[in-house]
Amino acid sequence: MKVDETKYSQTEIPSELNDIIQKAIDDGKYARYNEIKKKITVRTSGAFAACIFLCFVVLVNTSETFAEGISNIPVINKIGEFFCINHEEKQDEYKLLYVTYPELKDIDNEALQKKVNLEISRYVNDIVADYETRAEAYYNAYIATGGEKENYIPYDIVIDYDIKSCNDDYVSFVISATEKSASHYDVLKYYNLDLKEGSVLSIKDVLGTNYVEIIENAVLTESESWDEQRKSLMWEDVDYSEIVNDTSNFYIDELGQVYIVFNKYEIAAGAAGVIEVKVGNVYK
Amino acid sequence: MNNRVFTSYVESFIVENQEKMYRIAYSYVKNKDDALDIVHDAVVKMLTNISSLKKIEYFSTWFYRILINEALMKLRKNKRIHCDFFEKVDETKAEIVYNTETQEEYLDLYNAMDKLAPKYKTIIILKYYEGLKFSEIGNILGISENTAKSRLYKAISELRDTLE
Repeated sequence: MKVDETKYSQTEIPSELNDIIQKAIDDGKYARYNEIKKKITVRTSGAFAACIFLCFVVLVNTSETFAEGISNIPVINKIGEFFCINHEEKQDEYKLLYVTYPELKDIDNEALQKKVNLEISRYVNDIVADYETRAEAYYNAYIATGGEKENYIPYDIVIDYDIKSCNDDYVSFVISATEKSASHYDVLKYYNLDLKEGSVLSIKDVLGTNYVEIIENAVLTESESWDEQRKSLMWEDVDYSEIVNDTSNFYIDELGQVYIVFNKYEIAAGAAGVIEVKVGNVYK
Repeated sequence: MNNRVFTSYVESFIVENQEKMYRIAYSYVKNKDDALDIVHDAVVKMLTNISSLKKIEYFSTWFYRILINEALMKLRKNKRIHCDFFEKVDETKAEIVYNTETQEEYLDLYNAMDKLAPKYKTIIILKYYEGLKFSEIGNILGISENTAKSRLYKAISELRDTLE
């Protein structure tokens, strides 16, 4: 039987489709987070902390029967090769933590692996400790001002990660901490590792000694292309030699492009959010 | 269990294949708003149920299954068709399009299938519009390859009946 497929392939695509999709993605993400929150109940009979540690390994096998249109399998494979994911959820009367962070495994340089993993776990622990102190303080203040235990909704923190690139030459990833109720506590920390050299990369390593100038030029050039509203949020007279240094956040994507990352308020008003600017390439 | 990795993967796939998702949804309901609802709900389902995707090799099956379920649920909600798997094709509405150049007969499936029961509609969409193999269709619908084949032939014969 012959089938005329033109009507199907010519189905008119509504202009709002992309917006609907983006909204659905956001809705999906929060629905997932809320489902986890729903499982948490505020306990009233004494302090109780449920602490679950899971270390699971990311393993993916390629398959030739995989549906077309999917091109990222090699990256997923690499991520599984180099990373192990740690996950912890803690809840009690006054706090709600949802922590996921990566741990390196099987990279050739064991010393580098140990050093970075130690740093990551220290970084995460510091954030968690700081958060717990504040969460307890908020709770105590609430009770002291006559609040009811049963009605208290804990401040929550989500520590999450994103792997920007992962291959045999380098890996680049970020760990972020977001407090839903107090966004000025959001922090980001980027890690860029040269796997061939077995070292942690700084922005100076990647761009050279005149990295401050390069970054400043890149930001000025890029902001030229922004719309008026966004441009107006930029601070005037930013001294890049004060803001940018050896420990500045940056990442490298899978194509070898280097992006500097400015936290909120660093070079622009808070409404501009976190600002990323492409500053160069690692591949010449 | 690598939900975090799968999530960003699935998100990219959804964004890149949004038109395909819309076309499939639209084929069921032939109505823009309903089709957008289906796509929205399917995306939310996919992201909240990432844990049901056990291995990345199963992605295609999982993807179609969720999308089709949402489409079928929408049909049931709207009660645009009776949930009667033995519904006959309305003979007066089936269209036959002639290609005057080649004098061959094409069955205007797209319109004719509006009158099909949901399970026949599904098989037509997956086989003719998505071009999937019977084995893959079987996986998505939870039926054997042979059942998928016979269901397709039944769907076609339902439509062909109108040709007399």
